Amino acid sequence: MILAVCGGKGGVGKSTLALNLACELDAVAVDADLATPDLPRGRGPDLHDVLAGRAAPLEAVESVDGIDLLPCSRSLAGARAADLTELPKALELVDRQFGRVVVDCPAGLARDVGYQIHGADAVVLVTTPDRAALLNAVRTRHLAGELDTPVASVVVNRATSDEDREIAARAEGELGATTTLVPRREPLAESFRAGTPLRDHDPDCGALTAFETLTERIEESERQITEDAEPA
Amino acid sequence: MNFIRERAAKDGMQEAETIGETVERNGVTFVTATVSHDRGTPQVVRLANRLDGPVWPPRLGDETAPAWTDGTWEARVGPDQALGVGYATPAPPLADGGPLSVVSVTRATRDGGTSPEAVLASLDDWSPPSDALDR
Repeated sequence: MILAVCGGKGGVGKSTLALNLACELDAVAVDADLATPDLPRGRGPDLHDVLAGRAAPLEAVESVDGIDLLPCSRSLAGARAADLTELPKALELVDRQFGRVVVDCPAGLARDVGYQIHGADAVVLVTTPDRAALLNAVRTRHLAGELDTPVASVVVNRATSDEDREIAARAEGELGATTTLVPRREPLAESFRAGTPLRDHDPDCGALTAFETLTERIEESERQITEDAEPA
Repeated sequence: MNFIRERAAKDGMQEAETIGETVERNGVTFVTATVSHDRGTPQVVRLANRLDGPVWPPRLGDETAPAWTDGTWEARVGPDQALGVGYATPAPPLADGGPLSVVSVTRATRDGGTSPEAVLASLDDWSPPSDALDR
């Protein structure tokens, strides 16, 4: 199953979530933010090379600190040379080999995100509890609907108050998928800066419980999505 | 009799596989095959007859097998499922390759709506932002 982690707005914690989800789900993390990647860098060929036909998708997957990663480099030339239409096929090849893929999508709702959502089996929407991020999540949800890609789950990130809990409940109704609240925790931000999943960085951090709940919900959605599309 | 295995991809997207055989008897070629794919979600698979003749699909009384329309077979194939396909044709088996080609494999959805290609075409063009400089 290919999961696209997206949300429209930048800076809501998509990459942090993607890295941690890949760890929890034992999936390959694909850094599909072609121009401004955020996941840990690799040493071998990267997604730019794959989308320019210079490397096979499986060649570009490497293990970085115990996480299977298809990295992306910060190269403008690389981003320009990338052929987006090759992305769905590349994701599928990696999915076939590893069984699960988590795609870290860039911000915005341009065609790059379109191809990523189209190439995924389901999306995980990430937002923060503020109006701008929530509106972007709704727009992303709409695009996913148009592309026939179901929403597996919703994450309301960086929650700090009880009011955020209420916002998450409303987001659940609005976006039509189980919503998990991830609290703002300093170890989570630190772990991402260090390029490691929270589980490896600080297994006692409270945010890990939220990731565990989210993982269960996503696994449940995956079963549901597969059943829903089953022939009658 | 000839044993065939066809893998095909359309638009570089998803692949499906047909495995089957053809038997020629009294000037009629009988094709039997199974269709499967290795995606995690159900897919709508379309197959076309490659033999140079009309498709005689299976019939039950007056009813033709619903998967067949004008020489094209279309059905939902679930994950881990292998669906049977069979038909007859007056055309002889091909010397090269199997009698069925995979036309398309798309994710099965519950209803129609706008095609993903049309939706993608309607989105803003993507180009790297000018501030994404090499570091």
